[in-house]
Amino acid sequence: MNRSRYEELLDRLLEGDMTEPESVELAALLKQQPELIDDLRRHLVLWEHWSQHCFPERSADAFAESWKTRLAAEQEGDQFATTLRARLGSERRRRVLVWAAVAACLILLLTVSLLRIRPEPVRYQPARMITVSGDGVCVACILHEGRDHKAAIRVHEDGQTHIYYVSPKSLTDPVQNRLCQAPTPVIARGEVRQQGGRLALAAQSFELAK
Amino acid sequence: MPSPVRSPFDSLVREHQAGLRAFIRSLGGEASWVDDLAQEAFLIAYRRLDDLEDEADFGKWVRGIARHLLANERRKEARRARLLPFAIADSLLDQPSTPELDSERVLSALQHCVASLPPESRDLLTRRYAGGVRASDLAKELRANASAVRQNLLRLRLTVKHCVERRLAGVSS
Repeated sequence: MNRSRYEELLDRLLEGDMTEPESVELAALLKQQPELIDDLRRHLVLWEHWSQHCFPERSADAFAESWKTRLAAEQEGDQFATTLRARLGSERRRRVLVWAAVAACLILLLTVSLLRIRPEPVRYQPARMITVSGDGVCVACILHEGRDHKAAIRVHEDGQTHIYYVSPKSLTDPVQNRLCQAPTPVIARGEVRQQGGRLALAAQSFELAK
Repeated sequence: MPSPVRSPFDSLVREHQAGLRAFIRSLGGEASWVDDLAQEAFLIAYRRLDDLEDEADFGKWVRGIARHLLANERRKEARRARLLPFAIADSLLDQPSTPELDSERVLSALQHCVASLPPESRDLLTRRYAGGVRASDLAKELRANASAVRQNLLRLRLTVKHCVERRLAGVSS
C-alpha cells in the first residue's frame, strides 16, 4: 500500500468520518509498516494541541480545572457517605432517630389537623420577562456540567459572565448540535428567575442570531 | 474536609492530557465525549496511583485505563456504536513508552508554523479547529468544493507537521 492511501485514511480519521472497514484497513497498514504508528500518534497529538489552542473551552487549563472539580465532587460524595455511615453506625442511635422522626411526624400531623393549617405555597422569586443575547452553549459539551445536553446562554456584561440555564429543553437537534460544537451567538426571550443560585430562563423563543 | 488535590498529580494531568485525548480520539468519538472519558480515566488513575510501578510509564498506564473504559462504554451504550474498532487504538497502545511531547514547545512550534502559512490557509486551519466545524461544512461556508477543501486541509496538516518536527528537532539539537 502506498503513502497516499495512508494519507487518505489519516484524513478520514482526523476529519472524524472514518468508516469501520477503513479503520480495519488502517490498522492493517500500521501492522505492515510500524513506522507509521508514530507518524499517526504525532498527528493525533499535534492536532489535539491545535484544537485546544483554537478552542479555549478545551484548553489544558480548562481540562485540568474541570478534572479537579470532578475529583472534589467525588471526594465530597465519599465524605458525605462516610459521615452518614458514622451517624447511623450505632444501632441504638439509629432506633432513637427513627422513633424521634416518627414522633415528630405524628406531632406535625396532629397539629396541622387540629389547627387546619394549610401549608403556605412555596414562594419563588417573581419571574420577569427579558431578552437575552449571548453565546449559546451546551451545558454538557461546553460547560462540562453533567451529561445532559441542555442549552445555556453565556453573557459577558460589565466585565462579568452570567450563565442563563435554558428550559424547557425544546431545541431542535441541529440547533443543539451547533451548541455542542462551539459557542454560537443566540437570542432568546423568556421569563428569568433565580433557582438554586442559578439563573433559569424559561424560554419562549430561542433563535440563532443572524 | 476533602483532602486537597495532590499537586504532582495535577502536573501529570496537564502533562499527559493531550496524549490521552489524542489516543481516545483515535476511536472516532466527539470532542466532548473524548474529554469526559479522559477525565474519568484520570480519576481512576488518581485513585489507583499506588498500583503504578514506574512513573515513566504513566502515559501508557493511563491510556490502558482509558482502553478499559472504552470497552465498557461500547458494551453498555448503543449510541457509542459509532465508535471505531479498537485495532488502531491498540496499535498505538502497543507502542513502547515514549516521553510525552512537551506541550508548550509543541504549541509554540505550531503557532510559528501556522503563522508562516498564507493568510487563507491559516484561516482555514483555525476555522476548522476553533469551532470543530467539519471540512464538508466549512466548504459550504466558503462556497467551495468539499473535496478541494479536504485536500487543502490534508496538505496543510502534512506541511505544518513537517514544519513542527523540524522546529522541535532544531530546538533540541
